Amino acid sequence: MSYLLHRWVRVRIILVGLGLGLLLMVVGARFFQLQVLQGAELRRQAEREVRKTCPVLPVRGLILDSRGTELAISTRVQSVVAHPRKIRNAARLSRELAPVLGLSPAALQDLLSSDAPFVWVKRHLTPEREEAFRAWEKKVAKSARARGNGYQDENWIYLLPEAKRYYPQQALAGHVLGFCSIDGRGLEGLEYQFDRELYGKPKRVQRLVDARGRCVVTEEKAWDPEVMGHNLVLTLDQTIQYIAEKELKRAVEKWQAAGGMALVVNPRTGEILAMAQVPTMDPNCFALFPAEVRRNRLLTHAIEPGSSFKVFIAAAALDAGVVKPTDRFNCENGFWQVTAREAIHDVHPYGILTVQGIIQKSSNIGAAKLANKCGGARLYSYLKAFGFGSRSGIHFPGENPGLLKNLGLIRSPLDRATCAFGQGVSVTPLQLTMALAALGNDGVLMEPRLVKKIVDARGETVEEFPPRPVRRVISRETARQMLAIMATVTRPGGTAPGAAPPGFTVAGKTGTAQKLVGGVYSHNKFNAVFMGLVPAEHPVLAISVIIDEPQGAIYGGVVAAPVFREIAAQTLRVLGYYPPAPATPVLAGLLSAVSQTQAQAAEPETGGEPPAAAAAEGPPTVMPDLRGKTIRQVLDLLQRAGVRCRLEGSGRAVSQDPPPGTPLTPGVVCSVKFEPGF
Amino acid sequence: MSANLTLRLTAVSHALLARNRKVSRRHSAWGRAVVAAMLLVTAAVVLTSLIWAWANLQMVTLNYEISQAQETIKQYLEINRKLQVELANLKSPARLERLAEDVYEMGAPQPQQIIRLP
Repeated sequence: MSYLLHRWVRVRIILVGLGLGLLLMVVGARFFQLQVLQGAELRRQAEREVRKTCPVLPVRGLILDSRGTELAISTRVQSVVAHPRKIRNAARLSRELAPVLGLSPAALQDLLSSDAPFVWVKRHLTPEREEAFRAWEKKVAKSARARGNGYQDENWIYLLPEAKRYYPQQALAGHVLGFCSIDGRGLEGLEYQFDRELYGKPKRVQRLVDARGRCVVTEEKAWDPEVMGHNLVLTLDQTIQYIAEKELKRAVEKWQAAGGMALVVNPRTGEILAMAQVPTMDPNCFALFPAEVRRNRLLTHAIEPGSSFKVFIAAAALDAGVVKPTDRFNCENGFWQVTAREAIHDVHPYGILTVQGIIQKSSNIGAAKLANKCGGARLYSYLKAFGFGSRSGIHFPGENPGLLKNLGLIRSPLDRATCAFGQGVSVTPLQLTMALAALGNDGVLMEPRLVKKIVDARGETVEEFPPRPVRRVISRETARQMLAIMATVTRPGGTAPGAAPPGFTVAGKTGTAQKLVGGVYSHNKFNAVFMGLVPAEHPVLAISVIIDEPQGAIYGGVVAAPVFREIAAQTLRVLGYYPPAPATPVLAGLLSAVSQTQAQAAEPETGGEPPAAAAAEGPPTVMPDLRGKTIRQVLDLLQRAGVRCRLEGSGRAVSQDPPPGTPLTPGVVCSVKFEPGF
Repeated sequence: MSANLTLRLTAVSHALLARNRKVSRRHSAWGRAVVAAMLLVTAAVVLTSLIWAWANLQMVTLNYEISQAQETIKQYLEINRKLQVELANLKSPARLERLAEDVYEMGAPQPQQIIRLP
């Protein structure tokens, strides 16, 4: 019995062992099958399911003004996309989603019932729509959980992030910046010109997802400079651009003009500080504007410059040495028979005028005689050297080269004569301003610069555009002579006596150009032009203003010159140029202050102004009492006294260092503390 | 016969009924060592597996946390960009000029109001 029992136990043990062994073998075999025989394929399948390759959208670079203010910036917005082939009940989905997205149910149903594998349902949602869509998604997910339903049509319509271009300054410099397509590619202006640099580099990253499709780990970085486009730093100054646009708009409204253009350039560097045109275009909604308005007309439109062209004729004649500023020309009392059948006129009749007089009075006949004296071929070469008739090389698409006939080959004396006062020649406002800037830059033509540099997302400079002199057009002496001659235009007796901002001198020139309409010069459509350099002695700004078809007045000196004055005055202030201070005695303020201190010491209750005679008492030797004075009074006092100061706080002065009565020493710095409500 | 029967029954009862037989077995020292080693190895394997599983779990959890943190950073960067747009809007010269003129009754300084500091 015992033997039997032992044997049974042994059999059982063996059976269990065999079973376990068999199981182990099965497991081993399965392991072998999965890991070795099918291992490679299964691993690939797992990779496919777990590892997703996702595109990373590039972030378009910024466009900044010269002070770093954002003129164009891209932000991420959400778009709604769908996979119509996967959607079973498009009608129900459309009914639910149409009010959420603000679409018509029928249109949405058509879209969701289509045979396309992928459709954009609505692009660039507003934050409100995005929020509404997310709320709808949450509601759908909640009801699906409650129903325990795995498959849903709602899974195949979802949000996809995209970049959207914003222009926070709205229409400011819109025609310069250009605009982008909905896919973020530049279509016009600088956006188009520098699209490659701005766009960035799209790339693909690996992402591990779990069974629910949630991202477990991703290669994508939160801030990835590799996908970010470069930033563009312009020479434009946002404030000056605003000033130019504001004043131009005001003038266009005042004169009920068809439009206007203004360009502000630094003549030393060729930097374009402002490039304004009216009507303006808001690139945030560029589709609302006609193509004509979207264009940067300062570069793409060539106009006849009218009398403003005379300064270049005079500069050429002077530089060639064929005339001197004091040479006299007979202006034929306003009527000159050039050929047997053709004559030219002046607006006002003039007799004998010097070169300076020709420019100051803007005599057509005088200018024509200057051109004749210079000679066609030589004049042509000078005008070409000023940049007329050829592209300036600015980094901007669609630049118009203008039209300049070869005056050396022209047979008609009338054609040569009319060219001298800006007829039969067309220039872009940019060419006109750069040529003017050459006069203000000692005769050296600079390449116009709209872009200062390109920097990457880390702020490192990728490419720089330094000031580049193109060529010397005229000698320094001639340029100086021209500035002196042009300065007479804005003085009494000139054609634009009101063009100079208070406290500054301006070397300018007016122009009133008839417009060509259907191949004929119009008698009621004009371009009023004024261009000038300010200050006339050492120009820091070259500005040209063109008002298109003004009503009521047509002359450049009346219509365009006031715009120039306002732009110049405000721009100079922005750049820190102030009119020369009146010649006041340096210590006058201190003298009166000392007298005041003494008077206060003698009569502390009165507190009145010091007697004027006290100023003559002698040089000050002690620091005045500044207590109780406003910042303006203290600054005025110390400035006129020649004492440097350091101010702290606001309100009225409560303490000062050195204290009142301290003997003044050269180079002393006075610290004054102010408190409000004193 | 009866004696044989008795003897056989006694043997059966010994085999089946007597559970408190005094049996002495010889235990092999080698066998104990093997058992101990196997136990040790099993414990080590179990422990290693637990640590491996824990580490894997930690890795997955941390990966989730990293993804979420990255997503948060992206959201903050996006908010930052939107605030930049807002700031640029608020700092636009047109708005500032309007505020200065309409609200604070400010204007451009006249030349005589400008004080140059030495």
